[in-house]
Amino acid sequence: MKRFLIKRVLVGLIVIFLVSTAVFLVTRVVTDPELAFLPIDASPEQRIAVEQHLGLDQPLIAQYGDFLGDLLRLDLGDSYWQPGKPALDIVMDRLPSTLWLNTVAIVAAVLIAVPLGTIAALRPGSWLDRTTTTTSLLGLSAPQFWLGFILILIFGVNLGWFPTSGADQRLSIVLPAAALALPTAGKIAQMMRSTMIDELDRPYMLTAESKGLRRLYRIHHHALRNTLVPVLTQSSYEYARMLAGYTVVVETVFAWPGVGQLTVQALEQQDLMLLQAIVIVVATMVVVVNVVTDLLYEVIDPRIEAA
Amino acid sequence: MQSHQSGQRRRRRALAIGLVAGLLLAACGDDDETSSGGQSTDNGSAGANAGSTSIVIAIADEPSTLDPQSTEDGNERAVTDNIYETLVKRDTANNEIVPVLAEDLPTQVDDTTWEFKLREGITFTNGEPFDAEAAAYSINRVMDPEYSSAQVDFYGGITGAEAVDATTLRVTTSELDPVFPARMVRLKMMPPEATEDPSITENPVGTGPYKFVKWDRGQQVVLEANEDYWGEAPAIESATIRFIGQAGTRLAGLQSNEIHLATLLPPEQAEDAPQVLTRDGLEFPVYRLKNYDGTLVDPKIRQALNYAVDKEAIADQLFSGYASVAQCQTLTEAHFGYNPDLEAYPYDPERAEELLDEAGYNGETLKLLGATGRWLKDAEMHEVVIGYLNAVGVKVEADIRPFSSYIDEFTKTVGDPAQPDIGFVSASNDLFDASKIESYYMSEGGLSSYVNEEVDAELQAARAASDQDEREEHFHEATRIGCEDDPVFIFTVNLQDIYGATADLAWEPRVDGSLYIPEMSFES
Repeated sequence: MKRFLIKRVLVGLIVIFLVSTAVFLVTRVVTDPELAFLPIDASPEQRIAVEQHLGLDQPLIAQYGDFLGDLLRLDLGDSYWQPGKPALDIVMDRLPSTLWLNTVAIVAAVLIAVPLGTIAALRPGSWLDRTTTTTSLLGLSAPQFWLGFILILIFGVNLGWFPTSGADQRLSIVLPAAALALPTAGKIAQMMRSTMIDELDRPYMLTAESKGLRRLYRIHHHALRNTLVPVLTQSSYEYARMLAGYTVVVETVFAWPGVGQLTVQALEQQDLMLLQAIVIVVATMVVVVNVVTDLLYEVIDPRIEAA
Repeated sequence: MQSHQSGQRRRRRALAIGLVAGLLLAACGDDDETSSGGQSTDNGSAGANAGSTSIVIAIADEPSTLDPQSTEDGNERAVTDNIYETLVKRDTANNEIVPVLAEDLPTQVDDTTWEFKLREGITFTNGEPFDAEAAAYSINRVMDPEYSSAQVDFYGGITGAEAVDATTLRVTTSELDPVFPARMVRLKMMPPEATEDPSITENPVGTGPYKFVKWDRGQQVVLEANEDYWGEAPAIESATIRFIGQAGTRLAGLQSNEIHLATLLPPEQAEDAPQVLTRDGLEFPVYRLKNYDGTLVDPKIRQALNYAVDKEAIADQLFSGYASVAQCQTLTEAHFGYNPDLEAYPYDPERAEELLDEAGYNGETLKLLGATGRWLKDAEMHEVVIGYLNAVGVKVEADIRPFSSYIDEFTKTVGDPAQPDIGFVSASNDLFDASKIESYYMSEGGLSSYVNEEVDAELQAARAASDQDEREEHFHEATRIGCEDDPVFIFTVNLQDIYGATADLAWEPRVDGSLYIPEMSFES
């Protein structure tokens, strides 16, 4: 178990290193970061001065060396947009909001998807199945951007049940979490359905039925447990996709003060350092999610041996 | 079998009814009435906020800092304009310069020295006194090369400031600068002790009508009225300035009465706001023309280009009416030096074709450089203008790029062989003085692709003249030449600033785009 954990962590560190290198290359090769500091009619001398100030006039390999050294000391540089503030601090400031939003969303998604998928699986091909399948498909096809605005329009403006944006009220989390959760719930429900259908067909389920065990008990005590592994796999994958992707869109639509919104701000401001810090932190989060998922497998299903 | 089929039909009908009900629910919000919001139970359009002493304003982006001297950031100014004050400022009604922390407008002691008499008895909210020492400190700080403020260009050639006595301040400039008073409207006065602490970037301390309360990063800044304010107490006691990036979300906040004022609404969405407030803004989208080399050397061709474009159509249709036709200059009446005798070229494609013929234009291709994704409707503007030019037989090769790559090309100066024939830019003049046109109209201007000795001479003369009437005459002549004889640009429109507000907000937007909360109130 311990060896497994160490191995997974090492692999994770390698992933983070590779991601950092990729970010370094892309941001320095693709953009001209010094432009963010200069007025529109800056002279070439001013450009050169700023380049020197930022260390961008050094050969790429020297910059990379500096970058790696700083990375090891958890120094991801100072933000350009907010001069004097370490980029990592800015990201860590916003991270809790994003984690909170995405965690609530994935929990909601699983709580919706598991019963939905189970119900659909009980009578495949029935009206109930078709309705729940259609609902899941509608949910997962909806782009988060559009879904976000529809939710704001219906529940924020028309019905006035929830705030239309921001994070400063208790109910503020509902709409953005829904925008994240609904498409994900659709995907997980579909997967739950097919896994459950398989599970219900297994010989031991027939045995349990012939023993006289009631339907709900059979599903709850036997089938459900065995579907947990695929559900966990998919949920963890979806959680990572949320953290690294969908949250950017949803946070921007809802003005939610998380890392996703920060990403858009950093892009608009061409803040190289901040973008680097964001990508590295998010990559780290994804790695952590994967390691935790692997550990959870052990807990749920002792048959899985952490090799 | 039969019961199964009728059961199916019943279910299909139920589903259909459900879908229709859902669509109706969504469509419900499309009428002009606002519905109750997340907090209040009143309908915002019926004066729900009447007499309210707190306001929520939504701006499009978060400030990068709350230090009012370091960056050129409109979002920072949205907050600090209410906390800090300047020696003089522009009057909302007629954009004239009026004294604030100074007793009166500055007097000129000699060519390069100005003197201010300051008001007495004013303190910063941390107890530090506002006096000539503080004023001198503030001016010297912003001009200090070590501090590297991005605003330095705006302040021109100020070389230093010193306190003669507690209420007398002297400021020196490197050369005669008739624009000096106009420059001082931006220079905010800061408390020397508190400013030495780096936390001043997050904890602003000023003399103004509002005090800083807190900054929730990524969300909002909260202000409250300064009880010890030396001037008139503002009607609104508490203000929250929220950062909401998506215009649609700002609009939704207005409709649900969570937000009372929202900036930067796109022209197409403005109608959906409970109240729309507009003002002629600072932006003049223009196409800069290279007159010293290449196909456009003949002024007739450049005149033709101006006749070829239907500016009214651009204002009415591209900007949904939230723009006015530019009067052949990148200045409005609010700018000093505006030439009231100039008129926009009318839309006259036949005249354009005539002129092209006379000039002997033979289908040469003009290179056009444009930006996309930077200014409002920039990409659409290029399509439209190139379309008009094509319609009169002018061939254009368009090079449209994202801003960061565009700016490299655009800032190539006069004489650089890579300068395009036509270059798009959104010219804005927040100095409100015609001297700013130098960047484009003078051959040495940092953004110029134009060489005209007469215009150079006029603008040089304007620099050296201390009499404002004389300056004005020179500006008038310069803009006249740059419009009629030797066009500098293809002029298009002047964009309006579009704000959305709840129906009961009483506010007149300022020409300089400043969100000055003491001028806002809720009416019943």
